Amino acid sequence: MDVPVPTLGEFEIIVLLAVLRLGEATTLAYGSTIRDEIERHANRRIARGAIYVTLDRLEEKGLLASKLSEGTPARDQRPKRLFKVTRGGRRSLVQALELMNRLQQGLTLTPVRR
Amino acid sequence: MRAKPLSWRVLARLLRRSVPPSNLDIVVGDLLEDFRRDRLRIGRIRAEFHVALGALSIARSYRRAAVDRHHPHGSSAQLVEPMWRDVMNAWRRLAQTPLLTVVAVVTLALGIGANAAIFSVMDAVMFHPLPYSDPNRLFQLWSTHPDGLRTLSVGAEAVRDWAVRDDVFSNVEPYVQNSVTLMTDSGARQVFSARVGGGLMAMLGVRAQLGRRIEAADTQPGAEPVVVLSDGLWRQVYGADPTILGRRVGIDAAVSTVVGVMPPSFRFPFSRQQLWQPLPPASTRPTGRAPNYFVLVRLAPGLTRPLAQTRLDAANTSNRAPGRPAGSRITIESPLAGRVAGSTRQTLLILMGAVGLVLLIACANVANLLLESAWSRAREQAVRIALGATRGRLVRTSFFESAFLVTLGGIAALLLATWAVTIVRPDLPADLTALGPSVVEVNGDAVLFTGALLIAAVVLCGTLPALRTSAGAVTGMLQSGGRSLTLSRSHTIVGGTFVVVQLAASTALLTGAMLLIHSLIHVVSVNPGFDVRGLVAIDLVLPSWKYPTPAAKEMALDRIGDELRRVPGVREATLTAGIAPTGGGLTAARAVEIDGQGVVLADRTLYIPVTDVDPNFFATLGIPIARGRAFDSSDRANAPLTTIISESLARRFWPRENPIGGRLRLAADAPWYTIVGVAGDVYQFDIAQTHGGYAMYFPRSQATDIPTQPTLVFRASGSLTAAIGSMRAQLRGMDPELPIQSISTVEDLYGQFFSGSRFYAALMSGLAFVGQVVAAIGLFGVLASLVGRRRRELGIRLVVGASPSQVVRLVLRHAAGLCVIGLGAGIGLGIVIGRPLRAVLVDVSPADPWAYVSVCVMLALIATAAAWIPAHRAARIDPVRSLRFE
Repeated sequence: MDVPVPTLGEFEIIVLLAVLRLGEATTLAYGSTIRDEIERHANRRIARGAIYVTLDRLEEKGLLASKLSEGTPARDQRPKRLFKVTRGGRRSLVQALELMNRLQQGLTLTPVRR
Repeated sequence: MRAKPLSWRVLARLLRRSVPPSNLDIVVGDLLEDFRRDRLRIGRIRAEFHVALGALSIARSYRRAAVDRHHPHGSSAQLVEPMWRDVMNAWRRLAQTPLLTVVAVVTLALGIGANAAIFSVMDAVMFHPLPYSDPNRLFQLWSTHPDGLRTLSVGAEAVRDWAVRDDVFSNVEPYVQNSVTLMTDSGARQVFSARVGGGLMAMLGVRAQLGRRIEAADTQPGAEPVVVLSDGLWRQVYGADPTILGRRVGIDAAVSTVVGVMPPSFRFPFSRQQLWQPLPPASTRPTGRAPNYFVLVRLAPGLTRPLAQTRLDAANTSNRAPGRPAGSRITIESPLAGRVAGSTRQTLLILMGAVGLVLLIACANVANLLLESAWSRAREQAVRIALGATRGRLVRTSFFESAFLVTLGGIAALLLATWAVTIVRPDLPADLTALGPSVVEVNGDAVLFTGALLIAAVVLCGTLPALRTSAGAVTGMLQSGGRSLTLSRSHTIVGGTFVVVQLAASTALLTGAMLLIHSLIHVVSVNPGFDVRGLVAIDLVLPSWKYPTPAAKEMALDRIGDELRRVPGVREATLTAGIAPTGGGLTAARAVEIDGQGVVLADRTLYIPVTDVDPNFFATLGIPIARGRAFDSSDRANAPLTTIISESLARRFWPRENPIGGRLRLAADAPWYTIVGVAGDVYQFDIAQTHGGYAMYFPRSQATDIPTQPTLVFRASGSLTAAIGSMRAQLRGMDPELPIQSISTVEDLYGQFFSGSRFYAALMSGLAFVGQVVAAIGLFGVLASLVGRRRRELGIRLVVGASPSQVVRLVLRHAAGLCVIGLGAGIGLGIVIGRPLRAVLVDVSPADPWAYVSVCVMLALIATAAAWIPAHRAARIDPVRSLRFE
């Protein structure tokens, strides 16, 4: 690995994955939809504040890129910030997930009962 | 405009403060979008909840992120935690002293709760604006007559004159109150009603809940007679029938069409009015004299009341017509002015005073408790300062402690006030609720006001001592080891002062309550003068449209009497103009001339009700004839005129002589009446006055007219409820159109009559009780902490030979000293504030020694109880341990 890649925390991984999924589904990824996407899969409520702060941090690290889009009447014409994962973001994500995969191998994890 | 969350302004401000400007719009947009979607999906309430939580979470995250950026090596928790630790500290401290906490919370709850409840009631009945549109411009016209008499009624000419002056009034609307006979499916009934000017309902701005209001066209000559019903009547009589409009109902002799139903909140002019009919213009009335009206006006736009009054006066003097009576002045008054009058107003003001005293007691108590606890912690505080705690830190802990107390007390108070208002509401005397809003509720302003006062006390007393803990004091405190043998003087004086204030205020309260209770006992135990058990009174109305002549009425009454005597269980019946306590004695002599003694004018101390009665009146009611005879068949219309007087009247004018055979007359040109008998005193009409016993009776057979609203009184045996039921049925069967005003047992009449006095006495006792409890708690608290802090001193005393009983005496003596000062001050205060009580007391002087003695005894008992435990705790102090005790 020639270029150092920023390491990711668990919540950052989750947010990046959510943004990716929304991009694939051609849904716009912004604060509300990202939170919905995570909540839908996590089956629990996610603190809004955590989402925004994490999005900001990921953008600062260059893992996410954003642009402003026009507002709609439903949001009193206030702009949305639309996110997409950058190349660096993909790389970090892949690296983090691969690490997890490697570490998992050979272990038998009993399914955790909810 | 799309929906915004209720708390949006607060949330937006919070976000503006914490979210970086570059992100603000985006975050806000997301929140709004989600809120609007959630609202449709999961309902408004949960959406509100979500958006608030979301905004809080965002604000917190951004703040924490900002802190992390500035202190990359520290954790944001450090900034938040000390505050949190203060809160926890405060909570732990309160939990350590559960007694103090509970007492403070209870005191706050009682103080704020009782006050808020009473104040809410008063606000509703006395100060609440009328429920009409723009009530501040609504006024009532009064006339002041040349002889100084003020009346609410105004001549019809004035109404006509002023209705056209739109430079003074934008509306002038007359109304009159009356009572009409309403024919219903279940028979005739007499209901209170009002006739109102065509624009009155529109002026008040109240819409009909069904149909329409009374309009100007309805008052025109030849208009079809219409009626508008009250909500109550519509529900009671017509089962809230939605198709009532257009129904033709019989009212008095005419048939009117129902055109509307007013909402329940429309109570005009009083709550008893059940229907409204148009008031025809004065000129169309056939009577020779122009009638008088009540008049409600709305001031012209931009006009103030004094200015309008000036214009009114100017017009009065400049264009007085020659025939018009001089000097009758029309004034503009607030419609609320006459709402609560006389002794009721007085009573309410007294209660306000009582409530103020309770508040004072509560404040003093809470302040004392907190000062006490702060002082007892002085040493702990000193140690904490020595160990490096900042003053701010100590103050903060104290502050949170106070905040906890206030919050808990406030919640308890709100619950208490709500409960108290619910309890009090059904018992409110009718004269209080006649004009006020239909429902008395806990008043937010009252809670806020009393709450603010107590919070101020709590915060001041909880925080001040911590502020005063200066560095010098710390050194002194640590050097002495907090072991000074006796207490600081200022400390003892402050604590003592608080207790004295509480004792004084509660003494005054208790005195007031005692006076009222004593007066109530007098009222309730007054012997009515006749046997009320088994008596049933029926108030009838004989409408003139049906019984036009006295003879017709007389015949009808005879027939009714005969009919009712046939009901099983009914033994005797007699007809009179009304029965005690409230029905009789409405006609009174203005003056009486005793043959040979001259004329005596009636005044406040000489109120002589005059009643026309049947021969069997005295026998039926069980009024004893003390001397002479009752009326009999010999007292015919053309026989010599006779009268029977009451014993107290006989005593007043014939203190030593025999009144039988004496003569009296009621006016100089009236005939003489010969006294043939003396009857026992009957307390009637105004039992609250000392002259309740005077009465004159005349035989109805010699009277010139018959009562317009006669009362039939029956003595029945067996179940009175059953008897009343069968009497009602009998009357219905006889004449379905005969309106029965009321039918009830005389015992019930007395019960209703006393309800007002009972209510006030109960309320005052309740307040006094609350005051007592709180003051006793205060005394207990002060003595307990006194003993606690004098432990060492008392221990030494025991070591050097004092007996436990001497120690008990020492503590009790301290308590006694406080009590004597408190009692003295309280009795002084009681005499001052007891003076206005005179207006509502019956047969009790405000300086009634019985009340003062009982208050002294009661307070002494309570004080002893409060002092007992601390005193005996003092006696059980183990000297050795107390000297070692830290």
